[in-house]
Amino acid sequence: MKHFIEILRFFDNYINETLRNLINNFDIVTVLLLILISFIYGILHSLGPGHGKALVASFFLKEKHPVQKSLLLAAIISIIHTGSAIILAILFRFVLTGLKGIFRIKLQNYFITASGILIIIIGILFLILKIIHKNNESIKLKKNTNIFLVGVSAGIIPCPVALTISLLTLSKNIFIIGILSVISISLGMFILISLVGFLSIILRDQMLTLSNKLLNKGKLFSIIIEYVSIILIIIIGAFMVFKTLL
Amino acid sequence: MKYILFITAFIYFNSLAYSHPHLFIKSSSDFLIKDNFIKGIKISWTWDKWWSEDVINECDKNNDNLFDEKETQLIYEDFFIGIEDFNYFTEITINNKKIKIAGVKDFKAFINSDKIVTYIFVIPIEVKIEDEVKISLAFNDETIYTAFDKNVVLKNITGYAYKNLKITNYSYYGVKIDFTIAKNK
Repeated sequence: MKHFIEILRFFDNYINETLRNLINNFDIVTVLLLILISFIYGILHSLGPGHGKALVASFFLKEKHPVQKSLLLAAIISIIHTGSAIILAILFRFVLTGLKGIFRIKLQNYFITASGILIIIIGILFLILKIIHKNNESIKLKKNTNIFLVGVSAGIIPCPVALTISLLTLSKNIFIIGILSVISISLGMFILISLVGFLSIILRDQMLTLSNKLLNKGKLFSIIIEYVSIILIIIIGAFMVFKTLL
Repeated sequence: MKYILFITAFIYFNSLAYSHPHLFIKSSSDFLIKDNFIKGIKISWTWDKWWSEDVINECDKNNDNLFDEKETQLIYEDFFIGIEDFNYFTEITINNKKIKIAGVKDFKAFINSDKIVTYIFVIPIEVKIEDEVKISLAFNDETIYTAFDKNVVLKNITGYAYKNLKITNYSYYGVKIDFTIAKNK
């Protein structure tokens, strides 16, 4: 863990120093390097808690989806996670100018609480729908509604790194470069979360195939996985709320 | 075999819950001792480049790379005192008794040549050193927003020595130092 934090700190410092250098000396090669490092950072930093991986995995274990849906959910989470940070940065810079320093850290906590509450509500909604339609195959809401619900609830917490980069580059008039860095971080996150979704979809299929082969109880197992996944979703939300209220 | 690989990858991605701090602090501590009493713990926090950048941009109003009294007060109000809600990211246990941190005093902030900001503040306590004092000092942010470097420095105290020093990871990204302060014989 210590080495991983050191690696993360290295990337943090590199991005900071590169942005500072670009303030006075614009150089296209440096910008391209920044984009690459930001992309790698996006993958690395989303390995940590807070990027919806457990929620994504639980969701795709809960119900059958084609693998393309993992891309859709990952895109929703990544775009909202970094997009909300950019919007917040603009608000802090031009509207909510009195909110700074430690308050911004506390704000992160409030968003985590809100996200946790949303996730609990969605989990309970899934549970109610499942209980009401218990004899049917996994009930999905209209089209991709459930994917959007999960994506929004997971992504709603603004990305602190994106927020910091946006604030710095806004104040130093290199916002376009900041946006490029943030988009790259977002792409890195998208890759990782898509992979989690993809693996979860494959795992669900593999587990059902195995249970059918060994026990001839694929349908029962599918129902069990669905209930367990829904409960996991509720637990994830509850854990987030509980942690921030402590 | 492929099931094992998929399950392993799944568990790996979901249980690897590390590395999400966004701020980093290097700490050092000093003990203020007078008339055989520990009067306070002087803590120094050296921040990372992002936080330092923010503090300097917002608070070094005259851009002279120094924080005067007014600017220090601004840092204290906007960039420090909010953490009292998180117990100043500090937990102190003395002779196995947890110490409640009522407040801090003598807050100062500095900018070094690398444009890195350091905070120094004192947590007042009153503990008599009979023969030796057992202390546990932990720096930790429960919101996991801030990570503390494990290389904590304990400054030398004239007439006293640190014994049985042990540094461990604490919670997600915190650090805990256990040690004893004893009079030099």
